[in-house]
Amino acid sequence: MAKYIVKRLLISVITIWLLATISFFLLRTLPGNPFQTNQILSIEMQEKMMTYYGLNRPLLEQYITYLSNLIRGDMGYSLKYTNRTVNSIIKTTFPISASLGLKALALALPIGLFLGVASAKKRGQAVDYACVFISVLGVSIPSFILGSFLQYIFALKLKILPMAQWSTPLHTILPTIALALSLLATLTRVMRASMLEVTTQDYVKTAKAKGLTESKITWSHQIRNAMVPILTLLGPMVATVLMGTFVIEKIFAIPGLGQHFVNSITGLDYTMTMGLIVFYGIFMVTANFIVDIAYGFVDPRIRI
Amino acid sequence: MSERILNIENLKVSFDTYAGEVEAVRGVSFHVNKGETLAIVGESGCGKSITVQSIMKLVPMPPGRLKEGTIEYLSTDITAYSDKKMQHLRGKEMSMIFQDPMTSLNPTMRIGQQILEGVKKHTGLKKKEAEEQIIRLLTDVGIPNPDKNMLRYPHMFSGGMRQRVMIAIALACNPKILFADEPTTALDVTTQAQILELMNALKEKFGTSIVLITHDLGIVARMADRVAVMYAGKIVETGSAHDIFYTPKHPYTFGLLKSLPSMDLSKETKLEIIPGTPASLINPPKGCSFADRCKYAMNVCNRLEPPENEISQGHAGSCWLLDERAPKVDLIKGEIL
Ligand SMILES: Nc1ncnc2c1ncn2[C@@H]1O[C@H](COP(=O)(O)OP(=O)(O)OP(=O)(O)O)[C@@H](O)[C@H]1O
Ligand SMILES: [Mg+2]
Repeated sequence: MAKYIVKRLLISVITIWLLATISFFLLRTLPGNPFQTNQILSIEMQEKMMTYYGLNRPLLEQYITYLSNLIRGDMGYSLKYTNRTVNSIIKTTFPISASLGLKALALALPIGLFLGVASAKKRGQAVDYACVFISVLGVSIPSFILGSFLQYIFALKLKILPMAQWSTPLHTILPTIALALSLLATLTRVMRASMLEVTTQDYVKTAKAKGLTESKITWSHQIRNAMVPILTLLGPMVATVLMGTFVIEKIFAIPGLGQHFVNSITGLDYTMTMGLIVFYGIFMVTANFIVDIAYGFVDPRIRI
Repeated sequence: MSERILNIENLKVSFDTYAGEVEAVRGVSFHVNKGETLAIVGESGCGKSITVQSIMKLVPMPPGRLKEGTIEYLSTDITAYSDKKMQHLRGKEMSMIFQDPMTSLNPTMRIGQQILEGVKKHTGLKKKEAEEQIIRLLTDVGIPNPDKNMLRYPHMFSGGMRQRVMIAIALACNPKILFADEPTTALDVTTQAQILELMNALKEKFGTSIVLITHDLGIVARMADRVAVMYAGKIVETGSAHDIFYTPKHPYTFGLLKSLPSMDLSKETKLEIIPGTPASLINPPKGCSFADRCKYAMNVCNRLEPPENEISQGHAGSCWLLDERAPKVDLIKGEIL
């Protein structure tokens, strides 16, 4: 176990390093410079800024500087938000996105799994069609439409929930629902397929031949075996969702991390973009690591 | 007369598929007496598994459908039993072991727990007693260190050991009848012999009746008291093991026997195969389903289904050759006399 963890850690570090390196050089192939986009700055001013941030030095030198700072946990200053470090931006916005993401997951996970199981058990019946309908809807409705729709109904018409902003718990309800629906849809779909697959397994027949009740078979034989694909899905899903979503944060005016993923790239904010990529990468690698450990709890065959 | 555990009359099971109705079991009748082993033999796809699975109502319906027939267990008609009622019979009165021990145990549950489930459901034993019962069972089926091994997962056991666990699960509540659906097909020859021996020993010990499905006639010879030969969803010949091996009357049975390798090296015999493939179960033929492949086929065979003819006490066959008007044939020489 200890050996495995060390090995995984090593691989993770290499993964992050590769990620950082490739993104670093790829980013610089984008045309333009970070200050050009800001119309107000004159050419000379732009040159000055480039020199100030060391962006005129040879690329390899910049890379080495960046990497050595990164190892110390310093991701540098944002090129757009004056006087703010990337670390501090992430520190203030990530908790907001993460809290929204966690709420959405806490809502979507139990409901999604339940609907998936119910749908598989009642295959071909009305319940199944309803669940499949929900999951198709959830996957295919873009979140900006769903978000605006929720705002229209609950904020504008019924006036029972705030329209936007991120302050009281009440404010979190609509964005949570908007985010949860698509997660729920995916979870329902995967759980349904996985349950159906498990239903035809021989050991389910064995369980039935023992005289167990239908619900007992579902509980103790099917669900646990059906969870493996869900875990696989859950790793990246959790990582992505906690990172924030651009559209939902935009619609509900939530000061989360999601917006920065888009803004920093369009604004060629090199350090910010790099910071987000590395942060995301670390998060993703960790999530997958946890999933790999969790597999073992669900399925003893892949226990490490 | 010995006690009848199971009596099946004219069982018909079909599957509704897009291609049409698959008549998997087309009027099967047989019975099982107390403490005996009945072997059901026949080619792949002839409906052996579906026959026994419909008795325990393990065939998914739909797409399956019980069209006709009666199933009597200990003289009680259980044909129309609900799933709920069947739950009290399954595992307690009748059990089943399956072909592939690699897939028939739940990979995510300790084997002790897998045995325990059935015991708890049917006997209401306390945890402590149930655990003792499991250890006793595992010892009975020859699993070493049962107290430790009951805590392990299926993947930690070999195929033979898993099949022993399956047998322990099946016999946990001392059922009166055990359906063994090709229990040794997936095992190597030595393990196969051990498992069969174990089944025989347990049968002696508990007086369980066994319905053994196999297509290995060698297994039939060492296990079975009686044999039912199935072909395309029907039983074409049934009799004592002795009848079937020494005086087979149906050309199909005879063909099966001839396809068995012989250890007798003095005779230069070639292994014979039965030419052709089994009849389709979608729109099965009107007459005898074996007629297409039968070298003695007469006109009547293609037109009318042969009735069952009693050959001797307990030995019967469904073949027009057994009719008194038919020409006499010598199956061994392959000649019409
Ligand atoms: N779910 C199903 N849908 C349609 N047809 C089915 C289904 N299950 C079984 N059958 C058909 O029923 C027939 C009998 O199947 P069964 O499993 O009883 O054969 P078998 O004699 O046990 O063969 P084997 O020796 O290969 O186990 C087969 O022809 C099969 O195609
Ligand atoms: Mg079979």
